[in-house]
Amino acid sequence: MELLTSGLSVVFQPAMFLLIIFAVFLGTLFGALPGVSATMAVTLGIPFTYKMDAVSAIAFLVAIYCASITGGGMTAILFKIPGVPSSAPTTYDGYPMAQRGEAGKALGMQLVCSAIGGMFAAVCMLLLSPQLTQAALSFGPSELFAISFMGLSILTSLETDNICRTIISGLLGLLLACIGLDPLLGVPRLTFGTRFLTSGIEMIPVMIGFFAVTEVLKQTAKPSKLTAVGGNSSMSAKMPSLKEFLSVKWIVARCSVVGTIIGILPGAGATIASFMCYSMEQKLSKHPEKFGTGCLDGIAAPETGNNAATGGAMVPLLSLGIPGGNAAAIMMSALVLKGVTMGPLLLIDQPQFLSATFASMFVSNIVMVLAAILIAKVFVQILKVPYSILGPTIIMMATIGAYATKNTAVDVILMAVAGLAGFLLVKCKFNSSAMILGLVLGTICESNLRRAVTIIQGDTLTEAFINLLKRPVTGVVMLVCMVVLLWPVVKPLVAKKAKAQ
Amino acid sequence: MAAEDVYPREAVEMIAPAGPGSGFDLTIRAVSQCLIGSGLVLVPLPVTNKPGKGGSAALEYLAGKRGEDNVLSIFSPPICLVHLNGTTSYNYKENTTPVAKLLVDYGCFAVRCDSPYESIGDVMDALREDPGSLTVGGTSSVWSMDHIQFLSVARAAGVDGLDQIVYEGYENGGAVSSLMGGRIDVLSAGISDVVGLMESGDLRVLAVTAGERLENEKMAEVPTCREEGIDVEFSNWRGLFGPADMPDYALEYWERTLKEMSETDGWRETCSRYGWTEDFEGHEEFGKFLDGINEEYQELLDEVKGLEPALQ
Repeated sequence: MELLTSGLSVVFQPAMFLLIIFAVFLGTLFGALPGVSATMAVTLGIPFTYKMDAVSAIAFLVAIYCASITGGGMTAILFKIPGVPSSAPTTYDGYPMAQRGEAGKALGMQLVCSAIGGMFAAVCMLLLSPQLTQAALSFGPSELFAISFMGLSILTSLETDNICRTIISGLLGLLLACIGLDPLLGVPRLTFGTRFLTSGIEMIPVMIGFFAVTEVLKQTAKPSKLTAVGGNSSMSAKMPSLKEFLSVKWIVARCSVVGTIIGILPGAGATIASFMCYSMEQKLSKHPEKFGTGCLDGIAAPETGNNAATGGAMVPLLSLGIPGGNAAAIMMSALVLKGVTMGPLLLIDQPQFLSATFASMFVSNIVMVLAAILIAKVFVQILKVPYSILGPTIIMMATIGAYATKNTAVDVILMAVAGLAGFLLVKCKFNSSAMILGLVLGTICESNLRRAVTIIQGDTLTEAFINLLKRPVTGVVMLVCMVVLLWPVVKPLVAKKAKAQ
Repeated sequence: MAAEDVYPREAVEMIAPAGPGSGFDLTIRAVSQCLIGSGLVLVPLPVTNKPGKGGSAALEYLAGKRGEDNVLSIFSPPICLVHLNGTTSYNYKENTTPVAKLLVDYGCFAVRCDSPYESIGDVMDALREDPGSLTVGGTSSVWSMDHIQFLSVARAAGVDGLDQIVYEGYENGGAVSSLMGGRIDVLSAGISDVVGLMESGDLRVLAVTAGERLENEKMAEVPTCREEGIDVEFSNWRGLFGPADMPDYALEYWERTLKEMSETDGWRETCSRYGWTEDFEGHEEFGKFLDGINEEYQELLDEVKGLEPALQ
């Protein structure tokens, strides 16, 4: 209890409280800019911490981190631009809702779910850090492979009446993920001898291209609706009703837990978490066919999941001094710069770090909900801007975002190519979301599978693979994956047979 | 006024050849903070991250700036290694101008506290018996920094079949948690990666790769490889490089300014905070050092990769 008050007293000092509000604002802004990932948002926040003491610095950076994950979801809903990679699944349902004129409802749901997910994770972090740390350590490459594969297994259910093309799109994504240096051996693959491809296909520019640029091309390809799309006068800033919030309560509960657990795993924590929560909820839903058409469940799941992952990512950092993700790695370097030795002794010698982090997460999530009502009202107005102005603005933002990822023009070209390719794919009824899924999860799946097979001994590759499946977590998750993957294919056949009888 | 009198007039771009939060990023930010903070440099020194391919993305970027005076990048042993192991066709000799070596950092080898290996000698004994008997992990990819660091010690310890030593490269993080989770047996990494966990007793650091015991109070109890009977040293030096054919006035300016910076209290404090050992060398000396060290790496890589086809 004393611990908690010490953290709260740091956060509620007037100056610090204002700084947290500033951090939330900054984080939301950075998160909403395409190309500025949560990691980069935290980096951009570091100069502000130079003059702060170490505890205030972590509170400040954590607030930026949480807010940026949430900010990314707003642009995903309004413009189909995932501001951060982890909000890509939010576009599936958020954007169709905004198109229908229900942007306010979508944003409200997104912000509230984000906040609940974030706060749940913060509580877990405070109470269960030692246990969660043990869990994090016992998760090896094989378990990570199984979990990221789970994300991939959503492929067959993205578009149930177009399974073949969707699978092809997903496999194309996986193929793109193979381009570049081999993750384990460092040899170039599929680079055709050019230097530009050796770094691989960068995920963020492709995502911006596929989502934002393709969407703008799609809108401008139907000139008659040019003004009608944006100038939708029925655009409402109405927030979701209490009943609607209650309808997603179990989704939020489940995704909070799953997101927190995935967040503690190293790698693309929040991104895998949001994809996995989306696919999980679609499977569990009583009306899975509504997912992807603009339903509140489809917003609640990924947004709860990715925000819950933020708390998880802080766990190994604070309890062991091992960053749970890239954003956590940057916070660690900011603390090291202040002369803090990160390690297990930190929580014993200086418990105020944990409590300040907790307090900052909690407070920033609450601040965000309050700000949400305001922000949603303002943002929804943006959609009333005629598309002839909005479209080019989106393209401009997308270009800056693509350049900002690595400061190279190659990424801008990549974005443009991806945008055109995405447009053609949509025209040919292929599924660009599936392709993104393959690209995002391909590298994580591959390197973890290969690493798992080398670590888990076996005389032959097959034997190693079988040994892999014998590990309890891996085995169970893979079994679930198989069911999820095959069910949409088998179901029509079963139904047909039943009809024939 | 001649160009050299007014140089630098505009911002000089500082490149970190890795992502935000990485060792390179930390070092270059510390350098530019020190230069600005001490008033030695009055123009802005914005840091740009050019991550990718173990530093070769930044090397390629620098190669494209031939003859310019407004960009500097920090590099360490991988600038040699990425060329020698075939990741890039660019190299430090033709595509950069070494400006100054700033500091030296050392690596170490760690095991979990319940590991049967009590000393680096035990690890080497096990490898001498069967080079494939344990898994080594590190924070850089195969045939780069941490891998070569381990192999150079193993070679000096007389281990045969260096190419059979299993190495897992956790380039994107996860090396330390893999050691803690028991998925790798020995970790080859930098000192800062393990210091916190050593203090708490979760990890045992078997040896450091420095020539003498480190001054840092926490690390001073760890023996050097030499004390353990393995006659070898392996340093992670870091220095600043400009583009090839950098104008003389710029080279002179930076060599002089960096030397002045290395003598400030601010820099000393930064070094001791991170556990770095200051080791300033100017352009000429640094160039000679690079030639020597490059040959050493080449020898080692030739030997360990022996029969493997070149990765070009």
